[in-house]
Amino acid sequence: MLNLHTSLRWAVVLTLAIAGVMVFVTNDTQAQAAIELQSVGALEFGPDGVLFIGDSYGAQVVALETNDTEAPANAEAPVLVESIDVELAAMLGTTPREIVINDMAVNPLSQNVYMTVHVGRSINPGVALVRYVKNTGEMEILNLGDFETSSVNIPSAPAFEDQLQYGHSQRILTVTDLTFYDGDLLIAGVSNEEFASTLRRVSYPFTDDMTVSSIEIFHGAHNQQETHAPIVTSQVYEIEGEPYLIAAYTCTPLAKIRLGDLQDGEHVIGTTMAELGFGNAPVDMFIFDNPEMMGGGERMLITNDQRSATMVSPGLFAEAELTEGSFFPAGLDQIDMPLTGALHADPLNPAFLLTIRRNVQTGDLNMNTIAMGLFFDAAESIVEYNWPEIEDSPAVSPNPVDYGFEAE
Amino acid sequence: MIASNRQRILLGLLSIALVATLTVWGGNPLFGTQQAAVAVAEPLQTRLTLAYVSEAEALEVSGWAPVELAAIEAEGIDWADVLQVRIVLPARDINNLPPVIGDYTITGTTLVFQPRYGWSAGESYVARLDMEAVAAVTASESAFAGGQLDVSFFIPSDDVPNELPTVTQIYPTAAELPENLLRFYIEFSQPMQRGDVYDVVQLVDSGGNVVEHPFLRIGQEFWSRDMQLLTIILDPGRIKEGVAPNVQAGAPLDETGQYELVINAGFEDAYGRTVTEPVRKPFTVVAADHTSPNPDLWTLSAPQQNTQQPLVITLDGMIDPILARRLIRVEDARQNRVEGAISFDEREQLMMFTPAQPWANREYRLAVSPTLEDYAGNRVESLFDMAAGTVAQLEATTAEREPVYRDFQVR
Repeated sequence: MLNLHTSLRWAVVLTLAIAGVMVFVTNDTQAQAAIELQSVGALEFGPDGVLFIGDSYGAQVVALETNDTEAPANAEAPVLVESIDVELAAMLGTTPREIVINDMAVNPLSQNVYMTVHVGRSINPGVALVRYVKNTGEMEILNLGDFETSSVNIPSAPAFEDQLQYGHSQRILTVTDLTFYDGDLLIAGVSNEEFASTLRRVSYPFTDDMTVSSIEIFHGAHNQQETHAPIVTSQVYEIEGEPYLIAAYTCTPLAKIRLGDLQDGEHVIGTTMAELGFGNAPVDMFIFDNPEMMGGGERMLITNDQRSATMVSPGLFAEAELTEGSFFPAGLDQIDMPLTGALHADPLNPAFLLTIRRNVQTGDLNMNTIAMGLFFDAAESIVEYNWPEIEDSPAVSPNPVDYGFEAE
Repeated sequence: MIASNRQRILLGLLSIALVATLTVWGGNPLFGTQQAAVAVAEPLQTRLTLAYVSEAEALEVSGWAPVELAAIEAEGIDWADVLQVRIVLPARDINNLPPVIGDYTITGTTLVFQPRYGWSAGESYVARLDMEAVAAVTASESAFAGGQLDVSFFIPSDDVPNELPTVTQIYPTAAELPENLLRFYIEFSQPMQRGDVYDVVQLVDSGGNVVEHPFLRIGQEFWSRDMQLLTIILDPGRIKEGVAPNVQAGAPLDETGQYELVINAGFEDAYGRTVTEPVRKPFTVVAADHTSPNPDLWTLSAPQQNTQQPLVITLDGMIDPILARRLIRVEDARQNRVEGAISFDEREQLMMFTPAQPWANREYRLAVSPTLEDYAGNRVESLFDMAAGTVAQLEATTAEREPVYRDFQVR
């Protein structure tokens, strides 16, 4: 079903109401109800500043025209918001413990940062869409009603009461990841059907035409074909001119799925390229090419929740296939990168990766930038390059957090 | 949730629109740039009440003149710039935190604030009304320094305790109190509500007459952050000899008089339940206390090493036990603070410091801030009531404000 809502419509209703006229909408009977978000999760930017928001509880994806398309005045600058959970808690009138930052996405046009935030950890949270404005360094809470929005429903969503072994509601997995490619939004998640892991595809502007495919993947760590675990992060990459969804799963295959195979009602078997190592969930992935780092060339970084980030080479995707079981990283060549504990990561610009991660020394949850390619912040370590005698020391701490060191 | 927010916003917009409509229909006699015409005689500070109203689960500023609200709306002033609410978060300077976002609506002559994401149970908030911004538009005088009205309040958790609230202690505990007594403390068994303190707490003389205006009332109540300790300040203007209120009305307490501080039934706790029985503290007034506490005169009784025996200090008179917990500390030989708890006995003339860990060393010292006071406001460094010209002299001599130290050894 398609919902269309504009703030203009409200303005008209309001104007009529002010005039004291009883408004009775006659020829607009399908009077599009205002879009309500029951939860806010996965984020993805499409063209011209359109932002897609996954709402697992509400079983929908909402598209919001941010009209946020202007490049920032400080395009080269890094970003630092210390204790972002405390800042958000203060704005939302609660304590940091109640703040859950579900996803973060950088608008590639403006470099403004959008976050989906829950207030409270219950099944009925307060939902907030937060924007960090790079030009001002300020955060603001956005009102859905201030934007042109539309939504698409997700059929066959799991019920709230369907639980996993440790009490998680399956409903939270309705939408686990969003990827936009060539006019289409790919919606990864779980359905209530036999083959639960599902990939949906719908064009934007939204139509009623949605293709739904179930996905089967070989899990190296379990040495078996699996159909339940959802894709948690994905990106489209063209292999030999043909688009594939590069998808990372919990426990922990990295797979490629040919977009051309995603026909409605089909059960699609993807190709597993690598096992990323057991006991871990991937968090985010992105492709970068920094000519000043490690000789340049396309690389993909996958951040993890329990392991250090993994770097792979997209150039090897074409040949890669894993068919044998392995607990440990196997298949594609994988290089551990020195980035741990990143709740969220998204490229800010070619020079910087933006992360939300907990500082190991202070325990603070910070939003800050690290150098693209090296992925570490020299201010967090004491390294040779920190000595003043070292010339040509690479600037790998763009915006160090304040540790309270005071020089006399 | 969003729907109800939208309805609320809609209501707010409608009320704004209504005011704007009236403006047009009314030929604009009150609004626009002629706001100087909106002078209301009584200053905002005495007229406005800023309080959390638990029944409405809203912060409310009541007492506006309708023309003021209209003028503020007409000027396009953002209420979020005028009334800001902040949550109290541990180890954070509240002034460096962004305000809570919420919806501002006008109901009659009341400004209502509701946080968009609700109040958090078990947390404290501070609200600040910037009257300078308002006064500029309404042409009302802003009488207080800083032109602000502040209120702090506590949102009780949903787990309502079974016990009804009681008064657990009234300080001073002594039955004889000096004529120049400056303050009482009332301690409650659970978090209370602010708002009606001066209707509930009274000073009654021996004839059963309620003493009129004995307490300092400047538009706010003095509560601890947990809302369990209330400070009642006797009007210092009536205590300080020679200043106008003292000359006109005299001191609130008469020497040799018999009085009762009465906390009447009906005092509400954070859950809206009341103290059921009045609590009375009878006392006799004795001669004014014009002596500073002098730590050099205190007797320290040494505890035993490797025990948690308290350090017992016999004082030279009553001191303010609430201030003492903040302004007196024990240090070891390396000047590290020794963690522990301060308690009192013998009518605040006997103080005990009980260490959190056994006394490990031999050499310690007691550090007393020069700003420690007795109940009459006499500080270690100065008297509450001083001859004209002595304050400047004092500032010169105590510029360092070094604590007064008393060394002691454990046995």
